[in-house]
Amino acid sequence: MKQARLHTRREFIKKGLWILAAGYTAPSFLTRTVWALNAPSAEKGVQTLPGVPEDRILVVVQLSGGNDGLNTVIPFRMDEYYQNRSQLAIPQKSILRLNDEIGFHPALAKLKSLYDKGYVGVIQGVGYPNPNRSHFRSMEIWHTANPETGKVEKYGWIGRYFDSSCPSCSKPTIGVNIGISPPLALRSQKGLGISLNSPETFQWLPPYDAPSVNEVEFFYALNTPVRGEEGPLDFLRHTAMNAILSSQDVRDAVSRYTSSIEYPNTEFAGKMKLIAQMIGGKLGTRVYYLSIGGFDTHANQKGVHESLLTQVSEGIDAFFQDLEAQGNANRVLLMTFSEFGRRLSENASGGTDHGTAAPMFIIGKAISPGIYGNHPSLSPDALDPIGDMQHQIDFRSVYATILKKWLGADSEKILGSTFSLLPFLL
Amino acid sequence: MTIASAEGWVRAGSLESYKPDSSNPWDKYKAAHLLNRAGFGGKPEEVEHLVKIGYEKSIDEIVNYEKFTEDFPEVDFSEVDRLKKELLEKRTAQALGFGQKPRDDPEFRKLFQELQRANRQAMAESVSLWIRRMIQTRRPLQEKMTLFWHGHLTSSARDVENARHMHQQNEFFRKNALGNFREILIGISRDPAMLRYLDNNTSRKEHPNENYARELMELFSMGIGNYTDEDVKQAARAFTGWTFERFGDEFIFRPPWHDYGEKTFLGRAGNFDGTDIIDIILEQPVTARFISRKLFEFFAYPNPEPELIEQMAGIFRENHYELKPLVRAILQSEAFYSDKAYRTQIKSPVQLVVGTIRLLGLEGIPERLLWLAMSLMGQELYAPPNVKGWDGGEAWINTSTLFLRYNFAYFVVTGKLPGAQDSPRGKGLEGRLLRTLSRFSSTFTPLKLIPKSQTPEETVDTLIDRLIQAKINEPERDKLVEFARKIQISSSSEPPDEAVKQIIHLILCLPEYQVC
Repeated sequence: MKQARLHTRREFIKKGLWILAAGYTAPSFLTRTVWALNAPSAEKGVQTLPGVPEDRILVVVQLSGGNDGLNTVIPFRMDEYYQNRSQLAIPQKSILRLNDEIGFHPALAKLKSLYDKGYVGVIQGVGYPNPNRSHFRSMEIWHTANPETGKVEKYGWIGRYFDSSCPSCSKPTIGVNIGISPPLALRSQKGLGISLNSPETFQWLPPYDAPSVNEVEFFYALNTPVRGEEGPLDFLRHTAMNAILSSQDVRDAVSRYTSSIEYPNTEFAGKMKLIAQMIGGKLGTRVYYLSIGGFDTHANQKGVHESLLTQVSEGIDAFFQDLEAQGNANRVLLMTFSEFGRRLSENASGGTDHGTAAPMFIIGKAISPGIYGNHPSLSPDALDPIGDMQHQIDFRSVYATILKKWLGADSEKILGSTFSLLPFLL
Repeated sequence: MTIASAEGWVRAGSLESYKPDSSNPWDKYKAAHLLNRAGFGGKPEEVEHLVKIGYEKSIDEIVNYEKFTEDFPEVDFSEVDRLKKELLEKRTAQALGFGQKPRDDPEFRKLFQELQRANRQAMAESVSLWIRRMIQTRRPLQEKMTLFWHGHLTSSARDVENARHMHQQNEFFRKNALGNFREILIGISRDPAMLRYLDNNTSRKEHPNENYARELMELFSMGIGNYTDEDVKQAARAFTGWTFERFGDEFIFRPPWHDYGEKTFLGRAGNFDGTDIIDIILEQPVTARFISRKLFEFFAYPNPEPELIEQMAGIFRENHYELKPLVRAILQSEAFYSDKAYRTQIKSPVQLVVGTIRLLGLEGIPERLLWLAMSLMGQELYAPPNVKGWDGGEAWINTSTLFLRYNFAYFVVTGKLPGAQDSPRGKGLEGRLLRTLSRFSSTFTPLKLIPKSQTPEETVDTLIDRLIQAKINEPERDKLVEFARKIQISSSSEPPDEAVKQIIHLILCLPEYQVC
């Protein structure tokens, strides 16, 4: 089945124009959004500040549900940790120590070896003022980088990066989410960024292979944005255009690179592998996004949390082995986050309820490894009235550092304010 | 996309009853709209029926669905029951000191695996039966409301892992679909699937589990910002001891687990239990607004006008939280028939799949495959993505799911579902099911949907009428006609089935088909 290859949204519209010429009397039906694409296209990708390499990649790993930070990076010297967690505390002897104060959960053995190699930065006690304990509101705050009450940003912090620092980029694949629900973090005014579940289903299939009738041309024409159209149909046609434009690029990239690394047989590792393939196959994406759920451990936390941490740790480890093999480990920075940590004191169900501050991991060959910030105090007078930790580092400092130092973007403009940078990137 | 009958659409933002008149008639477009939103789409003859009986009788038929009898089979739990009984007997024997510990006993393990298999089978049967109901029911609004409650008072089989509990919950939603909201809140707080899903089953006075109390307020009744974290803690105390029997299927209250102390909740103090908490929640003016708004958005359009919300909340409270008067008011309002509502809703995957099967009159597709198709598109029945349910609206559509929707069109005409075997739910599908499909695809004869001797224009219009149920833009229609000509639809000879299938395929791949 021969299909015309189209690379940018401009080309698509033009092609659509040609296809539909017979049907329309109006000379043009470019939409508002598409007009904005008329700037000359720089296929390189995102424009960055001088001095920052243009081929850097950010991978965001979302731990959905509220990861128990206290059982991830464990402050084993703090008595309150053991006093409040008679069922869930990890015994000192099995903790993978980073220093005399803190250590990893034993399920993070692979992450520990990455740490020992100098690939991992641990940022302690990350949160924001007046913490919100709703999954949905707190996730929204992390995605939009705006904790202001009553204020909901329409676009995400990464989406705003696409919008503000990317005046000429035209490929929807600049941001790729693995899965079927794109995160708010990636939402941009320009509508860039795609989601895909598997390369096999990321394509349109004609049911009959009849060379005399090229259904695909009709399909393109009927899915091309129409000038003046608004509402859900306009949105649908724009999404269709992004999907059609990215389909072949994604499948080509994936088929160009075959990994020789053995990944664990988990869904999370499968997603990491797909990202490694797209990086290896030179898709030209700047930000990849993936999520793993199940961290809302209100009950029977022990086994569940252990299994989740194992999946994350092993998946990330295989991913970096793969990047090493590709020679791309220097180009990639991976960041983990969750909407909140969990309460210090465990509940009667062998679980923990929603909490506040928690650690983040920054992983990559190019970072300055180490431990940033101090663990929040667990003493009763240092906790808030609900019994949760006070955050030490604002998450927007982490974002600002990544935006400015890794992606070379104007972090003040994107975050709407200045945040102190952390030295995990120099 | 222009509005179907250009003149005669009515005011958005008004809860006044829509009154048909000559400039604003009750026609096939409005009837189709009602059938789409209050159900899963109507076939041309169903639309015609409503046009014929008139607007008021149509609303009556939709809302007073009890008068239609239904006859669906029961889900067979006998295998689950048998295995559970055997396992429990073995377990009791072991507890009494006979034999090995369950974990070390190969026979016990084998039985346990069999039970898990039987449970999965029953789960699939329960969902399949629900999908069959949605397709065949004479009470579409009842099934639509069942879907609403499943997305609002969510529980997921991934955590519940008990087919009977999920099935019971589904039956509870169906029975109370248009019932009383207070009874629904009390019932769901005692529902084993919910108790398990939000962990209240293990909540005790020593360290109450806050999961249920928080979501009850944040998602199920009031919405965020109308209570404090301290209210969550206090409400959690009130629900301690609400659980279900271990290995059983019924709610029980365990007094030794319950916190009988005084609680302070939303400014009131007393020795409250769960029912008191629900009653205090229902005293808050915000509750009626929150639920009215969510229902209106489900049926009509997002972000309803504040006055509209106030009016709906008033109706809801005046009727002591009875749902029927409220839903009726929404379905007969001017707002519901306004251009703000008409064809502005992106179909959910359930709406898309069930509707397509209904409108094309497809038979013989195993419901498990339809379940899989919906899941691939982002709506897995019995497994909402999180406690908030499905966001709906534009959140249904992204580059991934749009292709998956178009792949469903491919499935409809070829019987092959791309991605089926690779998906977690598809992995368990046996070859038998997939073979059924190839049989189905050879029996799908779309020719019967179009009258004989039609021109390409007539053929396209007939299919648009059936599938889109609205007028579409001329250029798009022309494009479809051009395609029909190209694949040799003509009035002089009967077109090949494949040609008709191909037009259907292209129509199902239209953005216009994704909305209703």
